[in-house]
Amino acid sequence: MKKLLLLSLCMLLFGITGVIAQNRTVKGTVIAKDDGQPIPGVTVTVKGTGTGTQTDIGGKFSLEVPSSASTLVVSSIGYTSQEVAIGSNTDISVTLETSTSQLTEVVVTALGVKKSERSIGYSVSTVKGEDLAKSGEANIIEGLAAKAAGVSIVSSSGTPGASSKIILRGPASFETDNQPLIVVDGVPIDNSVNYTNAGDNPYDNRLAGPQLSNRALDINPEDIESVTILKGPAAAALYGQDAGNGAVIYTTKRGKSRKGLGVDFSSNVQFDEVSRLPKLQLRFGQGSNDAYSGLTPNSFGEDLIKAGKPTYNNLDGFFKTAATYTNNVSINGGNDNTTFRLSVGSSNANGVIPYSNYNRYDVRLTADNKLNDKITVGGTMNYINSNSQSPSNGSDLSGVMLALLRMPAGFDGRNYLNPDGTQNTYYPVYDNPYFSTQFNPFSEETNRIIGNGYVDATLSKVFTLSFKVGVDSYHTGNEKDYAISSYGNDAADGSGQVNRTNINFRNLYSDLLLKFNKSFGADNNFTLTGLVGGNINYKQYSDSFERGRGLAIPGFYNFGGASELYVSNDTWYQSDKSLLADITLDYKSQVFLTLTGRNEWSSTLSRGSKGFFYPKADLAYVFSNLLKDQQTITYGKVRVAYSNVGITPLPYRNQLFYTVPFIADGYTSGLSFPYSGQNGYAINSRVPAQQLTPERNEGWEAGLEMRFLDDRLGFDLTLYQQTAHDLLIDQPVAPSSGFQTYFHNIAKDRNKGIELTITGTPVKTDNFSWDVTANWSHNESTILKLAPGVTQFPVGNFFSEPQSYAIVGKPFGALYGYAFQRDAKGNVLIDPDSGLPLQEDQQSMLGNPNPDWLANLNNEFHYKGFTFSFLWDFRKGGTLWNGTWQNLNYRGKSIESEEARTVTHVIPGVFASGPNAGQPNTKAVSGTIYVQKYLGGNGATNELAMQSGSWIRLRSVNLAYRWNFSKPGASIQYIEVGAALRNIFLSTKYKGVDPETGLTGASANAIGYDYYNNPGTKSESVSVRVGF
Amino acid sequence: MKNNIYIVLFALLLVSSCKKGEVLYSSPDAPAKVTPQVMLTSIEVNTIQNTEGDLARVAAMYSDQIAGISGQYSYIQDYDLKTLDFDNHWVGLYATTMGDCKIMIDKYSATDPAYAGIAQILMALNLGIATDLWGDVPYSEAFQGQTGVFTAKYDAQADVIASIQSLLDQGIANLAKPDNIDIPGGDDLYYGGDADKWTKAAWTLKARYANRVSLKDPNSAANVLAYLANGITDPADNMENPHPAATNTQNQWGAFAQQAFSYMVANKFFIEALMDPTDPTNATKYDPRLDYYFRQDTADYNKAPLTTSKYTGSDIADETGNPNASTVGKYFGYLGPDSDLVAKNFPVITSFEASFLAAEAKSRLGQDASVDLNNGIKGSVTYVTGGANDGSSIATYTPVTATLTNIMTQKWIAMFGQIETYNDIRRTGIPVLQVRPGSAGAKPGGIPQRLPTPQNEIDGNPANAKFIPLTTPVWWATH
Repeated sequence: MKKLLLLSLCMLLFGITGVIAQNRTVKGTVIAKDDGQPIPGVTVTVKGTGTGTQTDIGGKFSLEVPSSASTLVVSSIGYTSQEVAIGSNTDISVTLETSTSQLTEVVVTALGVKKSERSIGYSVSTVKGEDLAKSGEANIIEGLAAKAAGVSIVSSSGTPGASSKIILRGPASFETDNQPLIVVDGVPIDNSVNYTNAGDNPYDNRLAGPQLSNRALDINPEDIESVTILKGPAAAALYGQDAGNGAVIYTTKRGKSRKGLGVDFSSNVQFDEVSRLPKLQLRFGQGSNDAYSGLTPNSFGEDLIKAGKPTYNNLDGFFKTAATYTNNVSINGGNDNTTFRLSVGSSNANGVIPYSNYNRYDVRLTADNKLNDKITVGGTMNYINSNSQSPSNGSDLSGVMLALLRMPAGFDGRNYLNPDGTQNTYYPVYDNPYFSTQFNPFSEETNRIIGNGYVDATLSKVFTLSFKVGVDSYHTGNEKDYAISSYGNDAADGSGQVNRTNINFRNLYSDLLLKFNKSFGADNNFTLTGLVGGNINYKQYSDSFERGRGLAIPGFYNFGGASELYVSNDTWYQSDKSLLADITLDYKSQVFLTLTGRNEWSSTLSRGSKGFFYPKADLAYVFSNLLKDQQTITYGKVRVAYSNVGITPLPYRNQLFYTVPFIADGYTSGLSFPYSGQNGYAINSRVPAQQLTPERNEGWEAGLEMRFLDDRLGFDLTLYQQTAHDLLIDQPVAPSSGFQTYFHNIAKDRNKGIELTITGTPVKTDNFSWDVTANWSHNESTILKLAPGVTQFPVGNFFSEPQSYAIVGKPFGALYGYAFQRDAKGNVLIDPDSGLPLQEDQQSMLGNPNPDWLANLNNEFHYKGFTFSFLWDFRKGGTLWNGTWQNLNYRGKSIESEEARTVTHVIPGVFASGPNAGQPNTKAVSGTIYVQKYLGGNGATNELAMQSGSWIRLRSVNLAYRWNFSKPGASIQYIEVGAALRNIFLSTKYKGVDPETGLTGASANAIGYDYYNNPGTKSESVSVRVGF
Repeated sequence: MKNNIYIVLFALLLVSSCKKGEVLYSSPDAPAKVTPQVMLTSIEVNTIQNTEGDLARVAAMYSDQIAGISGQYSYIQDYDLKTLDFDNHWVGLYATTMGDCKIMIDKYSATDPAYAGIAQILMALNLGIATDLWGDVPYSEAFQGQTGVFTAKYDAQADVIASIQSLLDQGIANLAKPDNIDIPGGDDLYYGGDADKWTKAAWTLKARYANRVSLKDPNSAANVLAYLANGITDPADNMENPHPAATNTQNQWGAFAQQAFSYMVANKFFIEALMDPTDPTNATKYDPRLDYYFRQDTADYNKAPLTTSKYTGSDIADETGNPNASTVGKYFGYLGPDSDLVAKNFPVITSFEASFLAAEAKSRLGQDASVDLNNGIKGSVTYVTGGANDGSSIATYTPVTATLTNIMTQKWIAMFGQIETYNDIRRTGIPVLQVRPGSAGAKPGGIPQRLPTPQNEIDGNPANAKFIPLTTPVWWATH
């Protein structure tokens, strides 16, 4: 009550004194408590007004304040903000402490604009760079797993370098991969997964083949200062269509002006092991009908134990404990005008699968230079070299898991070489993985330069002009060898093959922004901040694929030694230009209204087409200033936002053209051109509409943020609904039309959900603190409309069954297949002749691969120099098609098949027909039929293989101790030692590998497939960090 | 200030290195216009896949010639066909083959009638495959996607067959026109642009479809004989899918045997028909084609000796197929898992088929069919053995023994691997096949009488594409 009185009094005073206020200038320096170094980019505002500025490179600021102003609010990312009384001081020194809570008060938003948290009318999540580094993940995408609400991350496997897919608030688009834009220091970078196909390969090589990286993996997590996740389409109004599914904004570490040089060194050693594997039977050998045959891969042969023959567990000793070494050194320094940071990092990861590895080396130089009072220039250059050797995955007969898990118990896989150097395997067309991992390497190397430069010019107190250019340019080259005697070559005849791919990608980005900041009105109660400008985003991509078949010399992989050569190539260009404005009007730092508009012209729409407009508006109202009890409720904000963004098609999608057709029936490598020296062209299978328009993603969100008891407890609740309409779909049309798909703007879907973050500090004393952060999110996607007369269509054509489908009224990517026939009571109908279930003639939804909800809980304890934290990760729902389990039943290798084959079974259900129709089934089937046709899915359905991907996992446990030596002149500033565990505990009913798995990698919209996916891992690591 | 200048220069460099102009709007990799030559080659290679690919293998399985024992082929052998199983095949027929035929016919009838004529014959051949396997299929309203029409009605099979005859007549007429500008050459993989050979093939195809309606058209047999008078008689005029020795031009039966190893093996029912039933292990009494159709290892893959007889088939009455049974052999270019495939063409329309068509027509007319039947057998044996055997030892039918049963049984043996055997069996019921029983895991209903309507038609054309039970015969197979 007292406070409110005081506040009212203050307001009254402001109101009165405003008229006669005399402005004065306050100067100061902001330094970090940790190292005593100045902090640039700190926001300094006059409390209760929108008036503010930022510190320069030297941590200095200068601010004109009304004479009535009594308090400054000093805040920066990663630091606890502070209120400083102005008093009569005109030179104020502020020391900021590193923030331990997740709550940061200034966030970097789109285009690198820093906004105070209170002014933002939409949901943002922030993750500190150190938490990213702590995750033990080399991939800056995977490192975000379980760190924020509404962020779904699925790694494709535990293989080093394998891609991770990130989805914010559910998938919407069928045309794009639904992943957010990745931005580093205000400039977009490429996060593609570059699968290149031979021009004559009819199949999707995401199903079978090496696991590739998502290119954001090139960024070193140690260089990251902070991450902002813009979940809604809010970012798109500033970055354009690439951010139509949100944006993840990484801000890197920069130099600090200081005395002498600062050197930070960190080193980490991590050991990975396979976390889970399917259980196999080791009793029955290769063959059929209880007898040996080497002409079937199935294990329905003789009982080896009974026969006293040797058996081999071929999983033993195949997977290794793999060591990863990560080392980083950074040097930073500078004076009042110039600062720099130079970092060098290396990460050398070995995989649990033999011969797999991933190595990344990067050097990064950031420099900022204040030329004079008005102009600051700066830039970053980052060079990355990454190389890897990746194991093959999925439905690949020369891959790892397929041939390894099917390997019969009577065959010793370790005996993989014949005396003549050819492979010893158990079945023609399957490569022995002990052989193929060694002799069929897939190696890839990427050289990448990411750079940006900027000029900021202060034109006046109101206006700043900012110009930025960024380039992201890389070359990726890879080579896949198939040794002579490997069946992995296209002809599957052991004649040897070499495939090479070269990819060149370049993204050029530039923006020119006029920023302004002006207070006006009585007492300067109103402040207008914002920017107007434009940006250009240009991308070009080219790849070439080269292949040599029929190798003459064993172990020699050069096209000179090949008897059949083939080349294909692909190129595209895309250019997007825009004009934009983003304006915030703030009233007394309590009410913030932001309006954003963008008009974009994209080359992927037809030439001369009109641009398209995206509006966005958000409103934030900090109501806590008005509350009576400001000790109980320290902060409260409500917010609401609307946006309507456009997403254009991929390049050339509006054209009807001819292509070299693929001719294959799904079993063989098919027929291709040039055929007998003749070229062939056929009309493309996709016919586009006359005019394409951008897809629209229209969203509302509302949120409530509150903090209580001196910020000891807080929550952030967001409700959102995004309706995507005019979605471009490759509407499957009847092939009798002469085409397979009609590409047009027609579909509509919706994602709605809830995101909740709760933060708390149950204990806080001088020496000890305990911080808790919990996130929970639920997203529900619904397909609202596809096309007239079309109620279902495939999202990705991967397996003939089950497929990933869009079905009206059902969630995105529903798993679709043939269900069991059931009676009205839900009993499975059994065919009285065979004793097996009948199945529907038409397909239906068998499972929803999207999780019901995601949650995580992080506990962090600080005691003096100790930090201890552990992060729980929960997922409810998210069906996976366990094709591995199903197929291992069919092959007689699953543990379930061991006993089941020896007895007859009566499958639960009722007779479908005959004299006992409707009565419980009594017809017994043989053990083999039960295992192969019921459990194994042959002649039954995939229903039994639809398994829940729910999990509870202890994603990470970290313990660290830090010694700070803050004595001036000490050569060592700090030493930190740490130990971490990752994925050390996993509880799931899923029968197979770690259910955090995805066969089709990050680039596909189809999720929920597990067909001989490579396994996930768990790890332990130790680290040391030293600062000089 | 210097740095400032550098940055401006850097920016200019970036801007100037952007591509401008047409490449931003049209793919540099995909042409908007092509030539009739490349379209013809594409249609022909697609036709190769349609005539000898998976459809032919499924037809052979449902003719009890091969047995599916592993992978997807064990489902198909269980008569467990899904609507999704034939999406690719339907696309192959309609979108990539016939859709392009239609473009060629529309575009080139006036200027390049030879190209239009060949496109009409190939359209007829492929449309025939579609209607034989699916019954009523789209034709009269099909191929209009470019004008935004995606829901073609399904024409009655009788009308489709009339369209096939009409297409062939038009094709023959177009090939007879003298004023072609572009004359097909090497781009025509079948006949090198030889209009006479195309014309003979078209007449033989007319005879095939005249014969197809034997249960429906009283003039069927007379038409067959009339059409054959202009058809193929010399094996040198056979229409064959060319398969030179290269990985991308492989015989698709051989490629399947190699790449989908052990999915299919010889069916016991068929392989025993190639042996003397009274003396099945006597190699001297084998049909001369047996050693070409099938192969047999003497040791299994892991070098363990096999104790089975030289050629065995898998009995589809058994719950689990026999993986040690014979696989297909050198007739399809396949020599074994560790050998490269060899070049081996695949028959599409042959002189021996013409002989069997004549024999069946004469038999129906009550005429002596023995000469044509024996010619058919001799032609087949000569073709299959590459001239090593002329077949005279088994071509010994007399006017009395040249019954319809013997004609159709011999045709079933001669046409191994071609879709025609499945068509003949559904139409004549000869030979009477062995049906896989439910106790072995087969789906109810027996051997499918048609293929299921493809899922992509059901999805995209639901008003016209209806699921029809697999037990319902197609129109020409009904009395």
